[in-house]
Amino acid sequence: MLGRLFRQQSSSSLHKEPPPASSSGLGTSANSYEDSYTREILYGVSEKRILNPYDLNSKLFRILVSQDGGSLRSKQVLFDSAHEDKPLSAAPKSNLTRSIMSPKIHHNPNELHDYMFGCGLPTNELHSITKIHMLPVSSQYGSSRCVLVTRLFSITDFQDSTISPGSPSSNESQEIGVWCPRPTLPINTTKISVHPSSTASVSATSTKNNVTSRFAVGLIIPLDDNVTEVIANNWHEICHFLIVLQKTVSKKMIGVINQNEHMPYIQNKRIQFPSYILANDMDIQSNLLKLIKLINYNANIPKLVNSNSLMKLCLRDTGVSKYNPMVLNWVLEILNWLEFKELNESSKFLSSLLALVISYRYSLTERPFSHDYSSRGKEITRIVVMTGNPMVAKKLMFILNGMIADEDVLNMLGGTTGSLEKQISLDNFRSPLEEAVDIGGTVPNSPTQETDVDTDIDEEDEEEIENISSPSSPTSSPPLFAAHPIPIKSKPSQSFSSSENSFSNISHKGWEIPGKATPVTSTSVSNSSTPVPKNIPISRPQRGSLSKSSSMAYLSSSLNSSLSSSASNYSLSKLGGSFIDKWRNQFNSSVNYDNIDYQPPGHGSFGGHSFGGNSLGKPYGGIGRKLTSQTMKTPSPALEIEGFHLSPSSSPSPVLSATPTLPSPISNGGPNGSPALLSTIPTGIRSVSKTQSMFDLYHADSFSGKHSTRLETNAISRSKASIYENHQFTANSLKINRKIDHIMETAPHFEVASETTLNVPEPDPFPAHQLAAYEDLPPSVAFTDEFRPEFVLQSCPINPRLEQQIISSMKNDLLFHQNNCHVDNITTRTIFVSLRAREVKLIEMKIGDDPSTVVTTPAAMSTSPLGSYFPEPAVPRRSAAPYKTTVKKVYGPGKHQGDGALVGLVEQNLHAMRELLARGADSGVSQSSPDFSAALCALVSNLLC
Amino acid sequence: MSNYMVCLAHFCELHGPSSIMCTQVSGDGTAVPKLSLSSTTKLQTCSSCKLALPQDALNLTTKTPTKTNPNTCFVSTQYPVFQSRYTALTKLIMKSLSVETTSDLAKPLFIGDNLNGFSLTKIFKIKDVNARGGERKYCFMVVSDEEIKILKNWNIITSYLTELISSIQKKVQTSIEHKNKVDGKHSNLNNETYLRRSLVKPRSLVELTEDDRIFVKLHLGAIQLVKDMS
Repeated sequence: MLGRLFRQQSSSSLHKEPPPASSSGLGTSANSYEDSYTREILYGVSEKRILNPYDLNSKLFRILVSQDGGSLRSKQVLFDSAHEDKPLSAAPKSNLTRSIMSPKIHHNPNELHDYMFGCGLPTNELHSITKIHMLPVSSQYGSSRCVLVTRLFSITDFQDSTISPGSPSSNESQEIGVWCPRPTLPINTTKISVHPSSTASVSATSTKNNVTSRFAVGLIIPLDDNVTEVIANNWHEICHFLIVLQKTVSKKMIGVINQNEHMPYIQNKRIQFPSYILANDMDIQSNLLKLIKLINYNANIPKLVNSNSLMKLCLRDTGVSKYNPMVLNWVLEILNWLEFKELNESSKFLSSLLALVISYRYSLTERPFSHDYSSRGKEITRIVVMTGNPMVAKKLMFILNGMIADEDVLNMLGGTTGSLEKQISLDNFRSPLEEAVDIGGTVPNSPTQETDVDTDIDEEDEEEIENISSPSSPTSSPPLFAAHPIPIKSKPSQSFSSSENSFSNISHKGWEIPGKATPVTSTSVSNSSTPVPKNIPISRPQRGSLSKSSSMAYLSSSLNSSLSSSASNYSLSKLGGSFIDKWRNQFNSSVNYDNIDYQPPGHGSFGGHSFGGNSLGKPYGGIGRKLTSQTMKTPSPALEIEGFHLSPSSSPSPVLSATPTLPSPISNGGPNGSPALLSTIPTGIRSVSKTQSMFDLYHADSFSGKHSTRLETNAISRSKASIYENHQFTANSLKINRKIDHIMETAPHFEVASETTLNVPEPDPFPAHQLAAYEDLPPSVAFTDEFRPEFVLQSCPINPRLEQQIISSMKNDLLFHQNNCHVDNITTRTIFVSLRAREVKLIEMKIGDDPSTVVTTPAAMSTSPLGSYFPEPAVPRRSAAPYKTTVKKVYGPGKHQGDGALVGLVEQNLHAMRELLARGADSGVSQSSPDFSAALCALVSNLLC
Repeated sequence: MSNYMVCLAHFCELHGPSSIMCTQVSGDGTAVPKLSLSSTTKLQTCSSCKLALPQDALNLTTKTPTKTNPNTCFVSTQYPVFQSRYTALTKLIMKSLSVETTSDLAKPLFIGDNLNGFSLTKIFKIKDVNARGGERKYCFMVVSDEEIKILKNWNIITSYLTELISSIQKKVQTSIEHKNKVDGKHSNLNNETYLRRSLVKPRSLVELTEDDRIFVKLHLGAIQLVKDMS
């Protein structure tokens, strides 16, 4: 009995794949989605449940490669990842006993062959076929649901004369929509390469006949519950994996054929391999782990909500104010970043990065593994942030994610960018802004756009830059900026307080976390290098002890928070431990939460701002709320407003339109039911300190009972990878049921249109009209334990090989699209951000441009991992095109090579934001006025649109 | 723009896998005649394969706006008029009903290639004492020339197909029970009846459901399906 158990144990761990995400400590991991604020800004939800990973049992993943033996029941397994290679002499009796007694978790290959090849009429086809079968759930195979994804393909030297895809008959193309099947990713067929030395022998036997054999690659993928979430939403990536695997298998088999010049495996015009001939092939075996990681990373890491679309909607529908908190949070995080992360006056890290991202904001929404049949080019853009501290990176990811414009999501949510751009124009807000903020100055940037020799921005990008720049360009800049220079570079020093001085050592490291920041509990801020006394939060006595130091402390706490993205939640611990776990461990040691009591959030207090030290558990403003461990780990008091709901109908006030008479939330000590979502925000901004303002905003909002960015409380909801139009998606099946019932139970009317045609009007009304629309979110994630080429925005742990991995992935991009997608121009670029080194690099590779002036390297001759997938000599491949590689350091210590004009415009906007929030209260203009709202909207829209 | 076809097919005991009804979409209202069968069309089919419409019509048309096109027209015929569509649909029907295997009829099956298109199929059976084995094999298919469109709408398509199949089966069951009640006998097959091939005869879905407008209803259901696909 014990022996059997041990054997089972060993068999179950046959592969060194990671444990399933759900069982890898997700439930016990402290870095789960505890941070409500982080969940809201990154994912748009506050519920953990939505972001919880699927329970995908890695033991159920399987790769099967089989060949069609020629008859219906003659199929041979060439490779089976679930196959245990047992020597025949090794106790056959025990094997038999085991096969009878042990539960089967894998389906019988013969059964799978019926699905993969079909078991009815034999077909004679050469092209690749894709199938998806839902495998049976039975006690024999356990209760887990699995899906079988099959790719049938041929290895042949037959010249396929069938109609190639994309060539509809001429008479149809002009009539109606052409029937032009388009797979998700195209693939070149693989043909046999006859060994040169064996040509004679082969030709002697098969001069008149072509060799053709059918093979199949099957992927068994366990499902949790939803086919759409695991399979359909990741179909591009699965399809890419299938193609690469198909190419690998083809290469291996062709290599086996060509090993012997007599070609013993070709018999009667058919390739006949012995069973399990590829069983020991390490290249194919390694694909199982790749498959497991592919599915787990893509299905379990929730995509970032497209905050750009939400903010655009907010700015457009200023009267609705559905998503104002997202705008507010985005602005505040930018300001916090500027204040705490760019202490150097000359630092233009964020503005340089944003200016760079702006150029590629639309390209960033495209999946790297996708193909547009209407285009002859392919452009891939990724942003990779390398950091040792994901808690800092999350702020940057939130800011960057806000720049990624997804037209599909925006359209689904009911808006169009065009109308938005038309509506949100800086000109419209010029006067209010000028009146509201008493700042001025000319744009401190050169009016001419800087041209970078190394950076090759295409025309679209240039147009985009122009569009973005035009509203606030120097020539058309509002009087606000034209008349009075904005002292951008002086602001960081203005905002520095004594508390910041205490952190100077740490802060100047750039991206290091002030791990011992918690003891700082200073209540006064006076050591500003640039005297701006009216901006010092100490002038706000009702705020109690909160100061910039506490703000800094709570920013530190935010860095120490348990936030994590799905990625951190999904911890591939087998790979050496979670990135975030490691980070957390280093900080948990410095913070003691043992004596912290729990109090449910949402009681109008603002705990969590100050963190550690004397402030732990200290009541604020007489509210007396004690901080919980979770609260202390969370970055902001936004956590406290979890219970508040957003009701668009009850918040008719414009964005940021204030309710001037709103009492101080601190003095109130409880919710007051203020009508407007953000109406209380300006009231809180009476301090010029950005952080203080941020505190006030959250605090005020918590009392307004409105502050929430949770999508589920509004007209949209989300899953891990999609965003839904409203909360009724789960009722789609019910709507469909009602529709069909209505149709079936109602006698349809019709009228005779002609001798042969009946005109059937659509019955009206249907009980339920429209289903909830949904849209896939861009492949942007917060954190991953390792670089994943599927994501366009991600942060990764520090790895000296990361840049090389990125470059290899980019080469693979070129190879894949060059060999399969028939595109002329391929551009793949990566914005590589190293937070520790404070570097921003733009790595770009191109195919299709004039290669005469560049150093070239044949892509197909590359030593990249994918290069081995295409070496079949006889595969009709496009000639190896040279590619151009450009690595440009856009930003680095003492180095600024970005687009100076655009960087200047971005910096100008960022500074204007800061000034607006900081000086609004002191400018004599009511912060509650529509002018304030309009000004902020204009500034934000300048960056978003 | 993606092209869609919603097809009801069955395995005819005389003709093999055959299309009964195919609903196509056209973004141009003027293209309806080109998608429709003409009066000179020779339809030599059995009653089981026939698209039995009221007034002995051959085509059903409905003009209804969609989210993206106000001039969208839906045309239902027995088979597509255009050759490439006919070829693609015929092959997909043949594969679905004669080649492919499914473990459970309740589970959908996805098949596709870059020559014929991509389909999500759901096979179902309805009882008929006059069919071989006492049941007839049908399938609903949603076919598109764009793979990702089918997969992205997996849940919606399967929900629609499930509801349509359930409705048909319910109607057939109701018809059987009604007939048993009228005839006063139970229609369960005994061995004698089961083994006699003379009893096997083609029957239309109209006859099985006792609903002469069943295909009109299926036409309307197909329209809703396509309209709800994003």
